Amino acid sequence: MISMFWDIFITRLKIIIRNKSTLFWTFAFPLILATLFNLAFSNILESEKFSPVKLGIVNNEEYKSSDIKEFIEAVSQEGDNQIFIPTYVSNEEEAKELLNDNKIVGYLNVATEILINVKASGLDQTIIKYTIDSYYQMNNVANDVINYDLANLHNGVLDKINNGNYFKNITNEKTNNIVIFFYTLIGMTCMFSGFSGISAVNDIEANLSKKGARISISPAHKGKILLISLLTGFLVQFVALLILFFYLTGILGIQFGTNNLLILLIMAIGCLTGVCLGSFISSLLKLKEGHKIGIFIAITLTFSFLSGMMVQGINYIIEKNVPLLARINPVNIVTDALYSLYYYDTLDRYWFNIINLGIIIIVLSIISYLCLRRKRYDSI
Amino acid sequence: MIVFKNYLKVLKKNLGMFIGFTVLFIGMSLLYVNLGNDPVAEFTSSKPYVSIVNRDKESSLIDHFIEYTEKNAEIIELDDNETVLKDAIFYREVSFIMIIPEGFNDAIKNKELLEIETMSVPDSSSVYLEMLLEKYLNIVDVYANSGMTETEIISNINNVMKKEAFIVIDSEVNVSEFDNVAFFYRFSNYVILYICVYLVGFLMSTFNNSKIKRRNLVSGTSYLKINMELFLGNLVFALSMWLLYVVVSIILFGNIMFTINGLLLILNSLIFTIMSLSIGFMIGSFVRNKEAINGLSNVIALGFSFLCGAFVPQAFLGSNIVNMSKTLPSYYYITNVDIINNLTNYTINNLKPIFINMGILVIYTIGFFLITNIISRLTLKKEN
Repeated sequence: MISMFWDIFITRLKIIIRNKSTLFWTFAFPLILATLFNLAFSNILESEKFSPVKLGIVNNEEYKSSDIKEFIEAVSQEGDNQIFIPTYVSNEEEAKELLNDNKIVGYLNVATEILINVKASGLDQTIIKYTIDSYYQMNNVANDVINYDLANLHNGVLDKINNGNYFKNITNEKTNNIVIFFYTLIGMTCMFSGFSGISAVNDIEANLSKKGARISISPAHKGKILLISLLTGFLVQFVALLILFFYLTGILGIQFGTNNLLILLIMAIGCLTGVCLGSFISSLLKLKEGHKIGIFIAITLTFSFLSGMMVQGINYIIEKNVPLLARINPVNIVTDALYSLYYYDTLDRYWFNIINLGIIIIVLSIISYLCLRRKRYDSI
Repeated sequence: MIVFKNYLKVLKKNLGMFIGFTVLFIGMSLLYVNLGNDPVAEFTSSKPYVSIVNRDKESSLIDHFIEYTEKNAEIIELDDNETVLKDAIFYREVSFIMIIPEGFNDAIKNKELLEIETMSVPDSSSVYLEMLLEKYLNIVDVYANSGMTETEIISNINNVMKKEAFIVIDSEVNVSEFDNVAFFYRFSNYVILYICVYLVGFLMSTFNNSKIKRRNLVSGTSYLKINMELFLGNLVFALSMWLLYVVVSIILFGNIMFTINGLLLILNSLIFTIMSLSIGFMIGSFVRNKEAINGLSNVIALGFSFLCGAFVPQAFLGSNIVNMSKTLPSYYYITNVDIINNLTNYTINNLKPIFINMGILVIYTIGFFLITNIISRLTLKKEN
């Protein structure tokens, strides 16, 4: 008995390993994608360092004699605190032209009632508004304070203007949202074990492949062969996941929760779900293998997209508006479980996700079983 | 035109899958446009969701602070419970929480401002709000230290906050309205690349299956003619995909697609589609395995998209990444989308970079075709 198990196991393993291109893409693709993500996002955290905004200034008589001139010059000085890169023009038409050509983000004209002109609403424009607002407001504050009590000129109150930190951020999310992208990548890689699920089913079904026909007439029990094939597929994919995990944590330095055992558990169950999903698709649909693979890829991509892989935040919107969709999306469940390990101190959410996947596995397996049950073919 | 007809036959046979993929990607694009737009800090944008937890007693100053916050945000009531607060942040129900500590009011009477603990969502749409609130607290700090009483502080703040610079958004093409269109076309970098590389590659690998290829070669039709007809078939396919995508954008965004900016975007995407087609053609001619084609198309589509600024805007990518991505054709496509997005003055100087980038895309296309021809000729020789 054991030797038969072993025989089938080794054979299936050989089949997978010999299919060099599948192997390459199962192992290499997640690593390539992880590297790409890392490259693309590596700078987001550093782009908190903001670059100065190009501001146009209509250098008319009113401006030259205004109070704000000194302020603008101060914040335009090169150095760490530079806010503006000023371009001085002599009249409003020139400023409009520069604005239209996108050489400046907005311009300031103290002579008109409309102080600031911009072309769009965005981060740079907001900075202009905020800085100019602050100038007028803080000027006002200083005047108020001096008028209230002349002693305030000397007692250091004026130094407090624009100086002071009042908020203390106690959220422990140090790495930003970036980790979620990598978690979705793990979720997607778990689904890849479905490819072996598809081929496993194809290989035992007489009406789907010649190999299937041969296996159907062999004395070995079809169910046994299927289970062993699924097992080998699962094992190979799990190894690929382990490699990905070590790459992410060891080399790229992505943060995960601290409980490694639970992380491995969710990855294993995720893999299992992928295998079941693959065999489910394969047993349900009577199509050529190429088409099944195409459909499976489409489904996996959709699941990944809905888990927030390409666009930040989609998973939250779905959780809020269509929670059922979040519950049947295995990529999302794996991502959510990993994130809850990272973010929460308690494990409630994590176990909820594990049970969720368990239910999905059971449902998919039952349906696959019903589709693949003992088939009788005519003996000719 | 037999080869061409044959190509269409193969296409028809696989039509289900192609339609499926197309619908899928257009669906993704629609979702992306509707949900992915999260402006980081815009003074005309929608208000972020915020919660204020007050652990001190009620006071007119705190009330005033809450009122001021309400002018710039939507306030959500949350219980003062760590799990509740953490959950609210986790599920993005609020982007910012402030916890006013006990004794806050008394401290102000002693000219001191206690630290307010905050929790925030990292990607935050509440960055601007935080800046405004810190400015408010700074003003309270200064006033408190100048000797004012609570009532005086409140009335003075009211006066100060009225002093806002008058700002106007002035443009014929509303650039912000066009942002959505640009978003859609940036995402199309992924869609067009994936569809062209995967599906064209898929179709071509059918024809390049060596048995079929040998039968074709032995036939009376010249090799060049076969290649040309295959290319024509691919062109028909790619152009219909492109047309569909453009039609969807017209339905979504309406007349804005017929402005100069819109038309430039359409032209830009046409050139890009043909370029992607050349990549798909190239891949299909020397990769046989269907799974390998799938893997390659994913790597190319996702890779080009991430590195060249389709998902994460170019402004946020590191400078060395941007330099590296200049070797990829998508860089020029996306740069064009960005330029067209902000274009309001249609002078030659402003249009020149757009056409130069389009020219570069054409050069890439020619390059890929040449490579395909050279390699297929080499493999032919080898097989002979």
